[in-house]
Amino acid sequence: MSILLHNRRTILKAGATALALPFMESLSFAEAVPAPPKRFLFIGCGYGFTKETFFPSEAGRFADIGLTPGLKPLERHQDDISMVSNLTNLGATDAHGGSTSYLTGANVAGTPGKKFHNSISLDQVLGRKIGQDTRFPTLALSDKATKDGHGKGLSLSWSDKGHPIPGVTNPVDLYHQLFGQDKESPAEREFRLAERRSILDGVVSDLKSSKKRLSKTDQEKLEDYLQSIRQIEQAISREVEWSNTPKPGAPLKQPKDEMDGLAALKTMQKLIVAAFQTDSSRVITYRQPINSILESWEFGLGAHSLSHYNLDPRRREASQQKDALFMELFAGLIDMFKVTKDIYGQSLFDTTLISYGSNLRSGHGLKGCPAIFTGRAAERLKYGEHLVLPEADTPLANYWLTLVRESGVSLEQFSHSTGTVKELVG
Amino acid sequence: MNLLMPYMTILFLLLATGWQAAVAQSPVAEPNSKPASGSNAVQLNSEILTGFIEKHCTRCHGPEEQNGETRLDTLTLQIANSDTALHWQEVLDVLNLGKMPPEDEPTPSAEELARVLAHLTDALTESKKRLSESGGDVALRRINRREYRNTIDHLFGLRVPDELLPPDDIADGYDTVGQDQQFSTYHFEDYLAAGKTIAEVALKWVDAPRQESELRIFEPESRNDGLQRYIDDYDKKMARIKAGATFAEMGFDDQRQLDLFVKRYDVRPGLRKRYLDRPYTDRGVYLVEGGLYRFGALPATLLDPRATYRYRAIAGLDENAPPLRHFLSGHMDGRDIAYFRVEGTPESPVTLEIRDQPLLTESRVGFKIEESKGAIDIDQYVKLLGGDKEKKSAIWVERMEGEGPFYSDEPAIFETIYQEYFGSSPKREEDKTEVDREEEDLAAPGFLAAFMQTAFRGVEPSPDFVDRLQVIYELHRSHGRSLKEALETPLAMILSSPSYLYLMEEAPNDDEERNIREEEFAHRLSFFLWSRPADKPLLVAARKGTLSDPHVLREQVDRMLIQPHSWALSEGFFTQWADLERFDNIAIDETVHIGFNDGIRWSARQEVQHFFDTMIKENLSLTQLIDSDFVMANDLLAFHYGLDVPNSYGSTFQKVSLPESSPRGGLLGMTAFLTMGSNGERSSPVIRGALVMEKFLHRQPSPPPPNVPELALASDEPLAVLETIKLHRQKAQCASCHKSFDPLGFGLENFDLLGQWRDHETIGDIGKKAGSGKGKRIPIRAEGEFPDQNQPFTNLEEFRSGLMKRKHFLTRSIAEGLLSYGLGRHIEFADQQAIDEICEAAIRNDERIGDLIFAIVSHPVFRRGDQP
Repeated sequence: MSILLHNRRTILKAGATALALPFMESLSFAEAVPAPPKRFLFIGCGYGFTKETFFPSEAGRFADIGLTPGLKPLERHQDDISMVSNLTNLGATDAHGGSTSYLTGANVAGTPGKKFHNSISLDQVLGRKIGQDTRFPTLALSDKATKDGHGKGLSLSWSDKGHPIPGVTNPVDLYHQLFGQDKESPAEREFRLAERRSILDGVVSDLKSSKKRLSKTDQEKLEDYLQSIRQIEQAISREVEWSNTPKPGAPLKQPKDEMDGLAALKTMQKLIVAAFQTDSSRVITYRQPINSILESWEFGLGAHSLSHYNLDPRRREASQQKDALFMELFAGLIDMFKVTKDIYGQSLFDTTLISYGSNLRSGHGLKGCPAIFTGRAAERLKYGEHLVLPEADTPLANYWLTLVRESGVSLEQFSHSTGTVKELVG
Repeated sequence: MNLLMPYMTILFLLLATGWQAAVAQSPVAEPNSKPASGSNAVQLNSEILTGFIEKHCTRCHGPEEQNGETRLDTLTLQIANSDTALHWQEVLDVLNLGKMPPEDEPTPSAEELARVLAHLTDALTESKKRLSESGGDVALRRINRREYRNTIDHLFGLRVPDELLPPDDIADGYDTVGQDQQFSTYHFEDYLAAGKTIAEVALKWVDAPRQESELRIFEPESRNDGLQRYIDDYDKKMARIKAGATFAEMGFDDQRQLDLFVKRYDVRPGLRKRYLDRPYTDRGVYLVEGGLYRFGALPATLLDPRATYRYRAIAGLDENAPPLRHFLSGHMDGRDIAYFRVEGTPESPVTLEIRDQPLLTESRVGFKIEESKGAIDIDQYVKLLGGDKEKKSAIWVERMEGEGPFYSDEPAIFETIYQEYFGSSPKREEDKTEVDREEEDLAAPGFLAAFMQTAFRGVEPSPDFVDRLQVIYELHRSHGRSLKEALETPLAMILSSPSYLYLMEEAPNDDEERNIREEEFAHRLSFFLWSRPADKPLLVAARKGTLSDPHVLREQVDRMLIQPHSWALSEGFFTQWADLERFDNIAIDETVHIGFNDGIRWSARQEVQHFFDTMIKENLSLTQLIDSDFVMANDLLAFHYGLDVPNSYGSTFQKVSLPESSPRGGLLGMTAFLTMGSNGERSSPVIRGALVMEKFLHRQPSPPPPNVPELALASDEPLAVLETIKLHRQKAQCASCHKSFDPLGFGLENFDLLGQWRDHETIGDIGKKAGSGKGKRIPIRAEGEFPDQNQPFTNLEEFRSGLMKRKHFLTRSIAEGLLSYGLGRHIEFADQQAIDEICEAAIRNDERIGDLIFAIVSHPVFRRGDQP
């Protein structure tokens, strides 16, 4: 009890400090990117897993303790993956929301004066630090699904103001973003960008003139508008900077327009690998669907029904099956990382830190969320083990801080983190 | 269990009198002792907590010992800040998890524990709401999708598809609440793109002459030629094969392919021959999924987006078509616009008609019809319902017709302004002279300014903004673009600028009243009732300052409520109040429940809106939501409900009187409400109970708490729903909340998953194929009790009259919802007095919806502006 109490108070305190410090000062910027580049992939899986058959009960090396039925499909990677127990995403309260604050650690519902609050997600922090040399500082991938246990939001990513960042949901769109060659002539581009800048100047002038006669709360609302315009301006500048660098050749064929859920997920996986391989981005988040996959597998049950698997033996069996099938998909992704080299000739697997999880454990439980990491970007992390942390409800933010620091990115603090998790480091 | 209840109407304060009894059980705030003004603290009840804590907690967490650095005897019972709330949340968590009290301490009785849990859960939910209050300010709000759509209709007379606009926000309240809205880069990008599309279409048609209406007729059997050609071709090849042609001569790769060709004679040309031999195929087609004709489709033509069109299908029934298969769906490019009931025969077909205005993106679309049917395989469907295994068809279509365009008498605002500046008889672009172009350039700034003023709801645009639009216009002109091309981006900018997107109200002077200006009030009123800007008569009244006269205001409100635009209130407010999003998200297995399909889903959703719309148009009492002697149904829904409807040969919703004995009536008897009270497999009294408690008893169940251990079934035997739910009572952690609403849900148990009446339920058949005959039948018992005074009911009728007795909760629930929706902000503790007054006025008028709405808009709270 005391630990919990302590941790919850920490969020409040951390929240207060974060407010007091201007954002720019709390994160140190523009550090030299070590070569070879380090990469991060965060996969959010929404609803959790079958309590009885997914989570290992004892600590130790998988080679010794074996894998649970749920984790079994990862067997060929068992020396390269670790699972961490006793983490909790403090501040998450939505029993159907595994992703809303998964990468932000925000005190979502407990912020005075606000019904809903979120803060910058880890990938966005990383994008500012290690994403500046690539065409896409970060990529957020998502799915249109709304009932997959992710909760509010449009992807795992949230802006520095805590606004949802929409994810790319269609593999074809993602393919075009990454590899599509534009047919515009330089003159056409120049005209388009000039027009765009004038448009932005125009709407800002409307805003500035309206601003004078509004109440304080209203003016704050308009700040959101203004900020989004500034961000578009920055994006234009970025486009100009990259306009003379041709996009890389695509290492895969353009995906088909019509795909079922499973095919779409597998294509997303290939595109993630291709984005890293071509060094188009170094930070990717993926809010992975469940329902569309269950449909492809003809489960006849929805993700939410499956999360309440205990009500019916048939559901329970389906839930276990679902766990294993998703781990098989994950194992397939790891396979791809292992056999792919980036444009610098480095193994993708050795240069990427891959995290898989949610802040929902099972059913409506938020305590002890599932956390799996793999990818050898962090040499000192312990791989091949089930690590049970000594303190229940160790803040998930501490876990993130540890993964990031061990991968060679310097970060003072993240969200409500109180320190690193030393048990992860061998 | 499965309760994702949006915090729709924010407060369920137990201040109203009828809950006194319940308050004694699980008080939230101490009754009749409102916190001092300015305080938003929630007071925990010491009677419930102090004894429990002394008995079970203080030995380890008291003056002597403070295990885990926690001391409970001194923890304040007044939750006035997040810190205290978090402390109590901890206590609740460990109790819910069963971690405390530890095993070596005396175990509290289940009843005692449930009481404590219920009290803490309610109080913490309430305190979370109170702590998030913002002092009644209406945060600047952006027009939502519905409002944007209606505003474009108001300005241009065009229909915008929702997909063109950024999705509405993710908050729990109404889509009008500004506080919960966010604005990110994608919003701007979407608005700009939508603005460009609208401007492009609007400019294209703005001076296009109105076309004469024409009738287009399509005979679907004209495609039979293709079938005959196929047969003839096959026959020729067969003749050559018979005459000894080798596979190589026939163009096949090997002998096997040739053999296969011969073997398929019966299924390929044979099927077509047998089809053409059927009667009436020479003057119509039989529609069947997977068959030779699945659709009847009017060929696509260029549609004028300013106009409406009439579409007709002339159809009859195939012999012995089962009643479930008498329905056609009509759509435009996948957009459902009608569900028709077919009657008659090919000898005497009926004419079905629907009127529709195309979306502005539907420039070339044809009207299409097909049989209305669920996702079940057609062969399986025919087998279950009985019918000819080869023919499979149920509906025969003789002809399809499209007629139009039909224009409204009044030109759109945009059109009027455009013609004022550029004239109404345009020259062709290539005929324009230098002088023409100069004249256009001279007129353009005035046109843009005039349009802007209307689009900005009467607010003068800033000179700077006007200048910048001009810069863009000139940029395009200097690149040789036409007038219309050069106007496109400036118009799109107007439609993505803050003055258009936000409902700006000037901060009032710092006087006592804090009233907004009259014209702003008119727009507030209009966005409330119509989800669109105020029209001329309302603005005229506002400018004259007569809206503060209650008689004038009442006249305006009554006028607005009976006009078709007030549909927006049903579409916007009521569907959100009733939580219809839940219905949209329930997946029903149509291969198991063959009576359910897209048509039922579409119609059931429409029913809810039509019902509320009728209440508004006829100023009916809110009690109609509990029980009514009519339903609003189209033919498909009437069939679903087993009601006898006079032939309408259209797909319109009409008022259908219910026989005395009918269990239908009110929201309680509607498929949408009953189906969303299910888990998609069977009815769920738990969800229904929670919905009834929230909507009709104005008490919102706490959201499902995280970290409560899951219930597990002890046996693999299927259980009756009643038995399953009894499991909830076994655990205090569940019972604390569920015992108040689970029993309510049983009142509706006679309605099954699809809202159809039943006297028995079948258990143990979940996931089994339709018609498998699996499962056990047991009688339904619609017995339960009301949470106040544990008053029992034993059937639907008693349940309804119990709700009727408690109708003041429904009034309050709707009143709070309307006020929140209309003001665009959350309802707060400080609003309770205003709501009391509004409800009193509504009750004096038999809870009539029109009177309630008038009570809201004539109350000072509806005129109040922000703190400066």
